[in-house]
Amino acid sequence: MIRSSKIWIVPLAIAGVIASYSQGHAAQDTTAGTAVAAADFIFSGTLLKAHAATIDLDDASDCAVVRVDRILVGGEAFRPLAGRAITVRLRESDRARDGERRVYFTKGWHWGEDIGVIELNSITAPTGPELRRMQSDIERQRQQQSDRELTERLRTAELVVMGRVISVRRAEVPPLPTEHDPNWQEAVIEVRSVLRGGQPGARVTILFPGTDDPMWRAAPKFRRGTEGIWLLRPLDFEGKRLPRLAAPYPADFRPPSDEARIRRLLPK
Amino acid sequence: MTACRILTRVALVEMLSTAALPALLRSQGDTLPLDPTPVRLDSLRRVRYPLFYRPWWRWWERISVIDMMPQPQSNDVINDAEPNLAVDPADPTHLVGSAFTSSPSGAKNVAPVYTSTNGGTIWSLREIVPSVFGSTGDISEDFARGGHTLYTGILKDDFTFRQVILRSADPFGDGIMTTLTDDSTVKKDQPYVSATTTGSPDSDLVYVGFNFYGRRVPFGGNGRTASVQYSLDVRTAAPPAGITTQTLEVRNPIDEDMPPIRFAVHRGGRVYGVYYRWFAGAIPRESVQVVVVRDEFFARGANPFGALTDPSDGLVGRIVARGLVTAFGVSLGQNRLVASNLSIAVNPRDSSEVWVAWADSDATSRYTLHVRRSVDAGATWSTDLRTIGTATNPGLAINSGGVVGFVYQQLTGTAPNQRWQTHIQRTSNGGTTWGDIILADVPNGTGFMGDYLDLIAVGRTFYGVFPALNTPDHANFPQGVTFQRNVDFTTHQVRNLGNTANVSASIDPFFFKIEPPTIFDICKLIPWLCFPFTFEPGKIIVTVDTILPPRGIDPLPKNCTVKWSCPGCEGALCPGWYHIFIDDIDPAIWKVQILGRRGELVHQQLGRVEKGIVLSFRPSRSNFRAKTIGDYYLAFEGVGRIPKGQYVFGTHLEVSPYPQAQHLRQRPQR
Repeated sequence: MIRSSKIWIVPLAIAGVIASYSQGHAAQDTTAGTAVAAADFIFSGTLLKAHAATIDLDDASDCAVVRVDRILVGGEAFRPLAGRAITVRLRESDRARDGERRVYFTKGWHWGEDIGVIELNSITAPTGPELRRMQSDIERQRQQQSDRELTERLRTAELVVMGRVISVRRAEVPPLPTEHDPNWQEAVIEVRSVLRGGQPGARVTILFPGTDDPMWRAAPKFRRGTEGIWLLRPLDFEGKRLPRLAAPYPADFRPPSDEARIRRLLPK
Repeated sequence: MTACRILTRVALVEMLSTAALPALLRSQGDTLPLDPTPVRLDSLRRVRYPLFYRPWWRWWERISVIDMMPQPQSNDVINDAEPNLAVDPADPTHLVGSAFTSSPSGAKNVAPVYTSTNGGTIWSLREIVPSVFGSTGDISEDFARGGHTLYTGILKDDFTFRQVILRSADPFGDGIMTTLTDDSTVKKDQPYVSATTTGSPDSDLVYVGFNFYGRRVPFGGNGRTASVQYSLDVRTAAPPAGITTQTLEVRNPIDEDMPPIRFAVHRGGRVYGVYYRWFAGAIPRESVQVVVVRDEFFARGANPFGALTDPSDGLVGRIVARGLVTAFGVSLGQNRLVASNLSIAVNPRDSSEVWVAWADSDATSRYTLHVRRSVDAGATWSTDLRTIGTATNPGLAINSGGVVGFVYQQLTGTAPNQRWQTHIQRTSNGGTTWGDIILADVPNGTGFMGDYLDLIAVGRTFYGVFPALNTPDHANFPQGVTFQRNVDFTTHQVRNLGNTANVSASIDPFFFKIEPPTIFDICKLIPWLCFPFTFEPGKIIVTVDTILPPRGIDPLPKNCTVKWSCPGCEGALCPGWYHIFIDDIDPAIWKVQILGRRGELVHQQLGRVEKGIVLSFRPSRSNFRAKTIGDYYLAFEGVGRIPKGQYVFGTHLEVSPYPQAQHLRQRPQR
């Protein structure tokens, strides 16, 4: 994070640019563009006050109060922050200067009366159309990262089908003496198309955990009428292979709108 | 004489609780124009447990109930169930809570905990727990007695029984918790953390009760799954920080022990554990025993947790109750039952007095809580001192006065109009009589509430957390309630982040605190017990003219009119940090604190400066008023006896964007 006066050079990949601004910094996971992929919240902001914080900290010396000028990447929770002053825990606070405008690559930290985020990296903010192009580049890079992850899920899936759940019933898998029993359910999917794997017929029956126990919270749950694309794979549980395929991981169930993307990413 | 004293006190309480009370609710210095908003004493209640000799103010107590979900999480509609709580005994303004709450930022590799730095009045979420999908499975936490270090046990949220023990020297900072152990190859369940501090120089000890699920009989194990991971010196050592595993069970369960294994640690060294032993029967009606184990000195010896044996077989582990049936895989109202209802507490004043609570079912599957105690360190046990039908989630704690608190959740009414009542009952006479307070009375909704809640005592104060449906209706919370997330009490609707639409009601964690009256309450209720302040520019003048302990509260807005020049909010940080300098005062003689609008202790920094002290704090945005700071008070209490006379302290105010240490470094030399 050398605070030079270099301007944003659009044609360069984001990673390369961040790397050029990151020379000399030891943090392993935040250099060379990994910040683009790792960041939950990327925004351009104006540093209002260095060594200060909006959140309750005994020592704010490595923080700054930053106004969020424009959100480049951020989920639902971050959207209300546009225009607000938040706390950024800086990587190198001693170089922070009041009034400077930078693009911050951050992850979430503190959620309360005020908001705090942790800087993974930052660069001098470009202006106008260059900022918009930078945003496009960031979105493209994150999309590429997401595509790589989805490609890996597709590569390891035994069967990928698109369809609709027509019935759900309790599976004949004995319950376990634990509060984390998954309460296996069977979903019968009426197959509209097979994207990968052998022809399973007009219907395929899969397993999914029906419990709301938090150990299984991330696993997709299905009900009659659920439509989508299932990336199905065999699953071992309690040392035994389950009798049917399953899609227990969040990335293994996709909305129907992902069909074209999935067809594009399927292994040739 | 004693009778006269009691009658006098009864008369005083009755007087205060009836017509005479409003007349006493005069704030001090009423002739000045600026006064904080009207005093809120609605959280002050009469003590509801048997009374013995105690100062009159012990007849009153403050009760607070707060939905912990922060405002930025107003879109949350998941069930943030199974809450747990840790209070830092070395600084009870600092608390950490947990529930099944997902990462607010949507990150997958971290999960949040709830944090408060002002005694539980305001809660935030901090993303410091390592995760796989942005949340956790089971989670519990505890602070040791000293050193401010937090210990947490979790199951990862990745569909496995992967138990992880974590440590943070500063959970209010920004670092991800340090992983001390990560069991990814064996199955463990329901880590429940207890910690303490002992020795000189002191060290932290941690005891994590857990069910060693991978040792079930069907997996080829011997079924002795009631276990503990513990370390006798865990605060700073590199991972695994001396953590070892000890099996508590010595008998042969039919399949396994049940999920909950709980510990109670006395500062003198006695450590108690309790678990359910499953000895016969099958799901959903297993026959179990409640077994208590004990160690005499922090499990430092050669035979840890082997101090108690049962007279029936001479084996380690005293069987407190036998022939019980628990319920597993069935429901009580909306809540699942999974034989996870155990609690244990030891009297901090007498390590031989230990209490346990458990749940079992009768022939009709009614779920019933039982409370028993031992006064001989677990050797013999009382019969039931309390039984509560159709109830779950017991929590026990004993405060420094020996008062036993018992929190639980009871299903009342008949379907479809059933309700969940959260009670705290207390006894100060060994369980002969109990006082009862209903903290919440909410509809039986959807989704489960979890397998445990928490109750803690620090000093005389009880702290707790319970899960409840978050419908904003004052009728649902008889002691009052504060929401941080967006709600509409008129329409009884939970509102979204933009406050533009309703969202579904769901389970939230609710914090509660029951504490003795503070100096704030005393001065508001009985002004003549507190000294007045004289207003002069740049001075705080205290006149001590009574032999009673000197105390007084001084509203900050009034200080802004006379003593100080209080700026507005033009800077980059609004509100900024307020630094109150008080000259010529000895903090060893005078205890000076900043209190919030309800008299609660706010997060503050006390520092020594050349001429006296400086108190620094940052007003909450919800309680800030430009030019007058907001509804805050300076509280003065004499430590020990202070001679009659007039005490004059110079004072001035400085405001900056910086907390105290930075401010003192950066301010111009005066």
